[in-house]
Amino acid sequence: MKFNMLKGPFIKSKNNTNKIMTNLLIALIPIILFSFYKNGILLYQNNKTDLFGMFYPLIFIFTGIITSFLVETIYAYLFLHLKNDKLKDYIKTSFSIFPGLFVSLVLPINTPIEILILGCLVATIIGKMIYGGFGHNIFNPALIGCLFVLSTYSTIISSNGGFLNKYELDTIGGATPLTNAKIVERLDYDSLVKPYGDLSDFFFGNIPGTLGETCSFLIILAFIYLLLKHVIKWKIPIIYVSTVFIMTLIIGKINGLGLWYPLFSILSGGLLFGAVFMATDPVTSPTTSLGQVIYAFLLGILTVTFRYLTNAPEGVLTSILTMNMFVPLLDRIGSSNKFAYKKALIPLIAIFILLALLSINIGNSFNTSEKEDSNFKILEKTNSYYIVTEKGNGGPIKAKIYIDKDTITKIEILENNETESYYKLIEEANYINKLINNQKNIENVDTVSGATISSTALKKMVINVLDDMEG
Amino acid sequence: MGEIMIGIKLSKHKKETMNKIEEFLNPKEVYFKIKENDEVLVKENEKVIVGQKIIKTKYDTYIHSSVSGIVKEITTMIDYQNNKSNFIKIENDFNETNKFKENDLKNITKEQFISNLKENGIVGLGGAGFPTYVKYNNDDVKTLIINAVECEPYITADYINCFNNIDKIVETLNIIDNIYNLNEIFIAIKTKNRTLKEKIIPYIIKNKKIKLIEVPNLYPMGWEKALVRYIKHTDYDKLPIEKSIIVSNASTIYSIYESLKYNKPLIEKIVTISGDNIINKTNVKVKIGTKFSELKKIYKGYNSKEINLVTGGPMMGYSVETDEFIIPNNLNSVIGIKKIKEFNPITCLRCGKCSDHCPTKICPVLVKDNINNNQELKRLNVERCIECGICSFVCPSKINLREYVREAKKKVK
Repeated sequence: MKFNMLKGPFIKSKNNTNKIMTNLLIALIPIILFSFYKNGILLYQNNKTDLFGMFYPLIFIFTGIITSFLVETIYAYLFLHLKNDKLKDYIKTSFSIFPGLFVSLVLPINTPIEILILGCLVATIIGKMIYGGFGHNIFNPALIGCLFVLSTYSTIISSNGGFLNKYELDTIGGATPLTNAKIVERLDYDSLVKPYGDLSDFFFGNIPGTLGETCSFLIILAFIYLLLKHVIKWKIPIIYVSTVFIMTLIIGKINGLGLWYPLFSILSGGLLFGAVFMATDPVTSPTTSLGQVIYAFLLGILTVTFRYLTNAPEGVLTSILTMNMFVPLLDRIGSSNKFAYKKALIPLIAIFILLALLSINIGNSFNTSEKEDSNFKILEKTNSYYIVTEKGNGGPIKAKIYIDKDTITKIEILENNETESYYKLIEEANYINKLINNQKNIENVDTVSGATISSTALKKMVINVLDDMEG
Repeated sequence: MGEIMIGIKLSKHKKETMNKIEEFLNPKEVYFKIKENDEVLVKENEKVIVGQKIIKTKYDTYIHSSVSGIVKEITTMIDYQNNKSNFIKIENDFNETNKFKENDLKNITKEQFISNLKENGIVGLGGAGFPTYVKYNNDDVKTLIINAVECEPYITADYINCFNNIDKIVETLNIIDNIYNLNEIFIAIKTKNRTLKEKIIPYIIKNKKIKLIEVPNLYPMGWEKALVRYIKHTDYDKLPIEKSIIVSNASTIYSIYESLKYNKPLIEKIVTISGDNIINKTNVKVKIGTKFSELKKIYKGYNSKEINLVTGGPMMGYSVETDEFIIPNNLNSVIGIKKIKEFNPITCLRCGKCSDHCPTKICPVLVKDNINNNQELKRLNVERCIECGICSFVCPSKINLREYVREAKKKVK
């Protein structure tokens, strides 16, 4: 008879890390397939690509997976001196495919494959291995890889078509919804949502973006699956997305926008994908409940701040990497306040005040810029002329602008309510002809002193028409 | 703070032993552990009768011989926690005569009650083995909670005792009520335990103070703090008496009954012997101090040659390296489980499940991270740990976090 000595407990839950990672993979499969459809099958059906191009999205993702797997295995062999069985055990428990998989899902399809490989290399080595491998890294490895690619090779990617696949380049043109939102600097449904269809296109993923981020519907399904399987730190995505929703709701309300605006904000820019898959990366997010709550609130606040106050549309990526640094601090707060619930209220109240103040501040900053800028309208547009209006000093100025092959040939003022004396100054300065003659160098045409507002209005008309023709 | 229910569901494994009880009251020899500061009251070769005081403990309570026989030498044996300790050996002469006579329990005073418990060595049978008279030696007792939850898998010793002796338990509760004039008495059982519920209800109907409470089928619902939190919606710091509450195990109440009614000391108890590897899974009433291997006549041995023998429940129990260990007064079960795969821990995923599930709100993962930083360990309140083992149970990376917290507890002491 042999009695084994073991340390208790003598029963253990059936859950294990392998199962968690497998479930994560299962949750990603529909998203991968959708990306295959959107960037491959759809292109093939519309004769935008050949058979290789059809399977290219899958090849792209597979390349990411293989790269990070090989990089980690070789790294373990060379630098950790693991061989044979030990190497096998290491591979089994290091989950090396994930950095590469996620890098390929957070990059656009136009990323050249060698740059993707480089990104995966950076993700695995700089993002994971130098900290000591799985479980020890501070930053989300995939986002490190993605940050590296986007900050170093963004010009190459945008010259390849940026975030739009070949089909979208023809049907939509331009940029991703958030980049577009940066350019138009105006908050209205027509310029933010309409170019891409309607909100259901945002929900079901018919918008430009990276491989994994576009189909909000499938991401929500994946979230539900992961929640039911107890895989995910569920508080993080729920609070993160809600914070962004509430803040953009306030910003929208200040600017008189409807519910579509906060919905647009959470359905674009990879927020859902980031919230569900990147912000909840167990290794780089807090382990304590309160820590997770604060982490998620701050993620939301940071994302909104980055989106509105800086020029980078990649608010999600930057916020997650920023918050990764604060995880030890948040866990400290979280573990102390487990014993004193009242103390936990202090950081939370501070966060709510920050959230409200920031939203109001951002909302108001849009309010003022809108008064200045957004009065230009195209009323009619043909091959030979535009009929446009712009707000002048006394009311709208209406003009017919004749064009020929991308140049303005003649400007006819149809209506103006400007003060006569001011308008005379413009006529005397021969300002309209100046605008036509200098249209290639329009920014340098000075306004007419004494009739600044009226002349600026005319100049804006010309600038906008020129932009539209190039468009 | 309300009813925050923290706990996990475990598979019960209780069906096989639920309705089974056997007796083994004639061991060849019995052993009693001599703890630090204990005073031995007998000499070698002295003849003792059943129920005779043989050890005086540091709490001024006594340990009694569970058989009649002759005191032999002090020997080294393995206790149920697999530690080598000194034991007094008593050889059974099988000349036991039942000398326990019935007492009149009317008008018993509190002083009589306390001294009775003290003299008869009644201890809490839930596991800790703390002297019961200390618990009851308080003037301000308003609530009594009877713990019949038994939340660890396999164990049915309390259940069967409660089921068979509910009349005596309720009689004891009435006596305690008369002494302390309690506000309320709760009998806590597991929810969905219909048979037990239906058995208890007719007995408690007469005393309106006694209420049957069904608690969720979660581990560790049988933990005092969880029970008080669930039933009384309140928290205490160290002991429930801070809130005028006493929590007693159902089997303890039965031994109080025997002590009061027959002046019978704590010399017998029910032990569950169960697990896949035990041939005859059963409950057995044994003399305290019996060597476990003597019970082979009852449990019939093991199913395989290589086994894990666990004393106590599978969550909080201990591994023993032999079946020749001694059954003390606070052991409820012995479980033989098939050789389990050694769990190879892998790197922590930092999923936070251990922190989420800890009933004492410790963050085991952070304890593990800071195991060499004593100041940080103090801040993490490691001394609150009740060693329930949930952190080790839920960990998907199979890290034995309880060992880290145990180590941390020792460090901050």
